[in-house]
Amino acid sequence: MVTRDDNAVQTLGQDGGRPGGPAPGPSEAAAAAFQAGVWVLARPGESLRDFMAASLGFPASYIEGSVSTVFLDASPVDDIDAALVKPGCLVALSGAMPGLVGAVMRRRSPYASFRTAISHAGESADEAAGGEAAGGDRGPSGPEEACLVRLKLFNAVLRDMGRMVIERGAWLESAEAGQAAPTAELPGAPAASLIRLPA
Amino acid sequence: MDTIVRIDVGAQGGPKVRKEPVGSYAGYGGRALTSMMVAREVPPLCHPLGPENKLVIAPGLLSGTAAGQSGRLSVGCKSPLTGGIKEANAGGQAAQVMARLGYAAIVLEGAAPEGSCFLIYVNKDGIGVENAPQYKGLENYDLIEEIKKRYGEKVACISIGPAGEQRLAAASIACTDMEMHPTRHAGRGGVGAVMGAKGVKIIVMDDAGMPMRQPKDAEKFKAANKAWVEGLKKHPVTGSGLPAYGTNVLTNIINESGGFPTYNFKQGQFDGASKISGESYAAMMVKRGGQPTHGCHRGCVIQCSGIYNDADGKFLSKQPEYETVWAHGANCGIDDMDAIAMLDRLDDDIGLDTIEMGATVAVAMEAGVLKFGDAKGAIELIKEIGKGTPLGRIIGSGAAVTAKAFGLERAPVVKGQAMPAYDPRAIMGIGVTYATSPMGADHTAGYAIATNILKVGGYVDPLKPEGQIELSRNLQIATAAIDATGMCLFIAFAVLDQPETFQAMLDLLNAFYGLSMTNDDVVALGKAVLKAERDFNAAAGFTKEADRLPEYFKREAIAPHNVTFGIKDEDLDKVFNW
Repeated sequence: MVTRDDNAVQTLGQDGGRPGGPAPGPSEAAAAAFQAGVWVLARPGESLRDFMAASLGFPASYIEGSVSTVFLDASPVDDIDAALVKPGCLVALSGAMPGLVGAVMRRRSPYASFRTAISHAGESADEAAGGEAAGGDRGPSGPEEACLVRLKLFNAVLRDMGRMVIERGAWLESAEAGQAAPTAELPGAPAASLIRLPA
Repeated sequence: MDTIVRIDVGAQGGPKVRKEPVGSYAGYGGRALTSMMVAREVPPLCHPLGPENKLVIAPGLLSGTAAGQSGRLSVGCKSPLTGGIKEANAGGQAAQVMARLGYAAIVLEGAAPEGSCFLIYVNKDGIGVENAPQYKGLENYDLIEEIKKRYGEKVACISIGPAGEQRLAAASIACTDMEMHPTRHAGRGGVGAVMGAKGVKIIVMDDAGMPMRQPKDAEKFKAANKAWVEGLKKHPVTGSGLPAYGTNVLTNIINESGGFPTYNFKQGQFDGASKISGESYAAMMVKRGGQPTHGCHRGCVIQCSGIYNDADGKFLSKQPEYETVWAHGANCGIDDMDAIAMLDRLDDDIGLDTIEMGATVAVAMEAGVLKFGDAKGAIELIKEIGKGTPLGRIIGSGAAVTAKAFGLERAPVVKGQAMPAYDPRAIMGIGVTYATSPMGADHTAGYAIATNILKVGGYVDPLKPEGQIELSRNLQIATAAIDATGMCLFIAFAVLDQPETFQAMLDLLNAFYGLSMTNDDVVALGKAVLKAERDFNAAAGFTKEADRLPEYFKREAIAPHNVTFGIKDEDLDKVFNW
């Protein structure tokens, strides 16, 4: 059983919602992993805002000012307080994107009507904490117990926050990592073994 | 910039150059000028490759000035690809140089004698036209190398490659960038075929001795430009995202949304997307000594272009744009950065629209000509076009023709033009624009500026599904107006989020021309351009049935969201009810 370590939340500079000082991005291999998706720990049923703040350690100002584009299970999210994390779900985080369709995908975009058919509709906390959509038996459901979710980081968010997420714990499926030996058993893992990304 | 140059390529005794004042075209630039001129002067029922068609090349209203991002060049004609009116635009140096030389437009008219290969040379002393058969058949890169030997490296060029000479419907017109690479293309609609039909291989422009265009109110212009540039630099997209990763920063995002057309629009996500993303390209460019942050013309503030080197560190192509990466990448099942960059290079060299080519190669893959994911085969297929083989001529005629030639229904086109990189089933609002734009399927037709700033047609609730019709209308109106300025469309990101930056753009126009334009004037200009374009198409035989997506987009759901295009035809017919 794994629980979240809230004490591990790091403090970043708050100016302008960006980390203080020039933060180097993650390594090329880690950047590739984040774009394809890594596994991280989360609390079932927490909102996406809480997931970013508590589970990933993003400063509140960074979430509000810089994480402009958010997807949950391939659906663009407008309300990060209403969209809830489920065991095994896929969360993707990005900065503001160019192009009309880039703008369409932003949170609370004035062009959100262009993507009505795919926008995230929100769900109940019960559903998110382990309901049918979550795969039923995937991971624990207690409020302090952790589950695994898949996380993708793109562009500026990857550059700004990738290293910190690695330090807090990010895992690859062993097949993706090209290694065989498991180093951790984690709740709700889709594969028998996961490899932790090196800090 | 108060002169229009008309060159009758079929005149008795050789091409005849005639200059005239802008006259009734005063106040128009870029797309506004090209579309108004085509609408007034080209018979809508003419053959696009015939003598009655005209090729109108026009810089924007602010091109050649100190205004940031003002280097867009518009090219207009009746399109050989769609059969309707066409405006395609490009970056590069040409618009700035043409504007400084004082020309509001260069218009190619008439029918060139068979076998013509004209070079047009423009400088401060005038315009000359010569037959230059030594350039016939050259690809764009080799052509520009020859031009550099003769005219030096400070000229700007507008040229066609073998595709344009073959008058193929997917042929583009190339503009040189700051390094004199022919990398910036007016790509869409086969404008290169019309230039080929006029027998013109290249226009070389030299603005030596010509000063920057001066505003009527220098102080106001300077202040407006300062606010304008500051607005672009402070916005996270134009100030950070685009310079760092280029337009291809969109690949990961659109793929994540499930709206990234893959395998000829069969699914909305591509497993190899992260391998060809803007982030991955930027890392590769740095590793190989290229540049992920680079402008395509002087005065560019955003710097979203880039230089992509091959494995040996030698220049291969510009950083491929998002549309190119999608078209030749996901849509063809190719996840190899070098292969996509090579396809980009070949498109530029042969003179082809990368969107149309990616869509067409995918259609050929579906037809079994080659397999999805076959990068080598795709490269060879594009080379066929340069060689002028029968297969190459089919591919070079675009996705609709290729699907017909191979007996396929699944051609992702509207009005004969291939859809760009956003699936209209997942992102239905863009499908409204694809369907109804006078240009055929075009992602840039409805791009700029929100209803909340311009207040076109009243307030639209962005969360109401029915807002898609109104929003598409408003975006198309605004974009038509912005296309008149010569401003790069990427300004849209800063303009739509920052009303003060939109105001700065208006202030630039007002200070330069001594005007007092308001939002209402911008809206009126956009509407006038769209009306002229729609009227031309109607006279060319387009009915409301042309404003539709192919039926299979209503029938075949796309994963992962399993949605079909659900906008009703009667709603599409309301887009231009204003």
